[in-house]
Amino acid sequence: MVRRLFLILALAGAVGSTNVVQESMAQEDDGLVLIAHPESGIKTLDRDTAVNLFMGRFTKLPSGITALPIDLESARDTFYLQLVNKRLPEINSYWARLVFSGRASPPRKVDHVEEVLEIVANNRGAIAYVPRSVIDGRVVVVADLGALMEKITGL
Amino acid sequence: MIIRMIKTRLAARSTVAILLLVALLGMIFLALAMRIASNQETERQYRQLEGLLNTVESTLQIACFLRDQELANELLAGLVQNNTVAAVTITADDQVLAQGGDDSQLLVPEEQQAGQHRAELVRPIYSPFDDAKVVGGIRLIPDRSVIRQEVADSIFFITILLLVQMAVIGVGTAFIVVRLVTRPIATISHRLHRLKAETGEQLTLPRGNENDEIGQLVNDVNAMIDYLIKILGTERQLRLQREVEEKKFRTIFENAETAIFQVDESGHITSFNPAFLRHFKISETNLRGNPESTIYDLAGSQANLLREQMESCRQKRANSELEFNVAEDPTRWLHLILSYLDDNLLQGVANDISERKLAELDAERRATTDSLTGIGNRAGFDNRLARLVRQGHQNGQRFALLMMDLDFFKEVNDTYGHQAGDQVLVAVATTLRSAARKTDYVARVGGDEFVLLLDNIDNEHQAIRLAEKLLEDIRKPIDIGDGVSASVGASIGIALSDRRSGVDEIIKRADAAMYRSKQGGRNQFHMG
Repeated sequence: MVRRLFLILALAGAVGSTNVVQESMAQEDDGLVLIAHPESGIKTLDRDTAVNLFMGRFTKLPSGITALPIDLESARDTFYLQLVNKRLPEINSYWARLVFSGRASPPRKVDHVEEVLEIVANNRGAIAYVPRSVIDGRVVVVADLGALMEKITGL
Repeated sequence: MIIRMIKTRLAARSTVAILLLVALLGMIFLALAMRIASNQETERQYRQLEGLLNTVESTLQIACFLRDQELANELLAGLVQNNTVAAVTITADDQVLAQGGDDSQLLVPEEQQAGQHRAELVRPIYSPFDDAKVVGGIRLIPDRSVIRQEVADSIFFITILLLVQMAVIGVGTAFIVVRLVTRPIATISHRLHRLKAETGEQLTLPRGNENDEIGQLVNDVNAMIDYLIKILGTERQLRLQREVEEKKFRTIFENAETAIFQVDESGHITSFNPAFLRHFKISETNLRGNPESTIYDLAGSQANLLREQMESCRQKRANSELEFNVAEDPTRWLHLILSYLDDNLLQGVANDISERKLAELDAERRATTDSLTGIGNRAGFDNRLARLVRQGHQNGQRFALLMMDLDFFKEVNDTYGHQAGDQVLVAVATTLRSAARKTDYVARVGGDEFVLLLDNIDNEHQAIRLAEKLLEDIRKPIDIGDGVSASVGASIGIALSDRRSGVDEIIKRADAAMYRSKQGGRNQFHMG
C-alpha cells in the first residue's frame, strides 16, 4: 500500500519533472547528452549503465577502462532528475551515507562546461554530461538524456 | 491412604473426579491458549521485524546496490542488536554481503522451519534508483526463544489462574458434597446403626433434608420398618400360637392313655408315645435298642392278622379297625385303628379295651353256660352246632352229636329233693367233661338233657366208644351227702353229620335215636 502510494507519488513527480524538462528545453532548446572520450571503447550507454556509473556501483566502463564520472555543477539538478528521477537533496543524502564506507565516492564536481570537456578529452575513462550545444570533436556522445527519459516515461 | 479415601469417601471421589475433569479441561485450554499465544506472538514479532526492515530499507537498498559490505555489516549489527532477531543474511546478486547473529539458527535448513508459521522474513531488495530492479535480498530469522519466552510468560498467568480455579473447585466440591450428601447420609447411617428397629423405633430425618432424596430415603426406611414390625408381630403371634398348640398336642400325645404310633411298610415303628409302650408291654430301651424289631414281633401270634389289616388299610387308603390280643395274654386286649398317612406310613391308634373285652367275653360265656353245671347251655349249643354245620358245608369235616337223657332222674328228685337232683346233674356234667376230649363241646340243654358235640370225627366208632364209656360212668352211684348215694342211667342217641347235614335234621336224627334207646329199655345207645 505504502509502496503503491510511493509509486504514485514517484510517477506524479516524474510527470512534474517532465514538465520542467520540457520548460527548460523550450527555453534553451538544448538537452543534456552523455559524452565520453572517443577512445573509451563505448559507442552508446544505456540508462542502467549510466546510473551504475554515476551512482558509484560500477567503477569501470563496460569496455574495462576505469570510469571517471564528472558532475557539471550547473546541470546536476536537471541531470539526476532525468537520470534517476531524484532531486539533489536525495542524491546528496545518498552520498552522505557512504561517507564512512569508502566503497564508492561521488563523481567529481566541475563548475564549467569547458572544464568538463577538457577533462573528458584528456581521460579515456571519463564520462560526463553537457548540453548538446557545447560538444565538439574532442568528445563523443554516447547517450541522449532526453531519449533515456522517453524510455523512463515509456515504462 | 488417598486411594482408600477415594474408595470409601463419596466426597473424596466426587472431588477427585471433578478435579480430574477440570484439570483435563484446563490442559486443553492451556494447550489452545499456548497455540494461540504462540501464533499471536509470532505474528507480532513478524510485524515488528517488518517494521524494523522498513526503517532500514533505504540504507539496505544502497548497500545492496553498491555491494557495500561495510554498510551491510553496519546494518546487520544494528538489526542483530534487536532481541527479536536471531540471525540476518544480506545478499547482493547471489553474493553474501553480510551474515551474522546466532549461527545455529542461521544454519537450520529452511525445510525444517517451513512447518512453523512465518519462520523467517525474506525480502528482495530493489535498486534505490529503479523500483523494478532487484539488486539483492535480506533474510531475517526471528529468535524463536524470545517467542517461547513471551508465550511462556503469558501462559504462566493462565496456568496460575487455572490452578487457583482447580483449587477453588476442588475445595468447593468437597465442601458441597460433604455438606449436602455425605454428612446427611453419614448421620442417617449412624442413626440406622444404633436403631432398635425391632422395637419399632423410627429413623429421625436430618434437618433440611425433609423434601429431598435423603428425606425420601428416610421415609422409605421408616415405612419399611413399620411394615417389617407388623409382619414380625404377626409372625411372632403365630409362632406363639403354634407353640401352644404344639405343646398341647405334645402333651396329649405324651399323656394320652391311647397308644399313638407310626409304622412304615416293613413294620418298623418310626414314632410312638409312652402309652404305646405300656399297651404293647415293651420298654422304651428295648424298642429303641432294637431298630430291626417290627410291630409284627410285638403282635406275636396275631402278626398275620395285623399284617392283613395293615395291607388292606394301605390298599383301601381307609381306616381299618381290629381288636387285638396283646402278648399272648388273654386278659389284655387292644382296639387298634390304623389310618393311612401315605404309601409308606400308617398311623396306629390303640386303646386298651381289656376290661370291656373281658366283660364281653364273660357275658358271652355266661350266656352260653349252664349256671348250675358250668358246661354249655342251649344257646351255647345252638351256636356251636350252627358253626359246626357251617364248617361242614365249607370243608366237609364231619362231627357227631350225642344226645343224652338221664333215666330215673325224676325219681331221684322226688325222693331226695331238688338239691340232690342238682348234685346229680353237676356230677353227670363232670363225668361228661372228663370223658370227652378237650375240644369236644358239652352242654345241658334241658332239665336232665345233655348233648356232646364231637368235632373232627371220621367214623362212628369214636362216638360209640365214648357212648359206652359214658353209659358205664353214669351208672355209678353218685354221692349226694349224708352217706346217701343216688343212681341214674342214660339213654343216648348218636347222629353223625355229613356234608349236607342241616341243624334241624341232625338234631332230629339224634333225638329219634335217643327215643329208641328209651323205648329199648334205657341204659343203651342207638345210632341215628
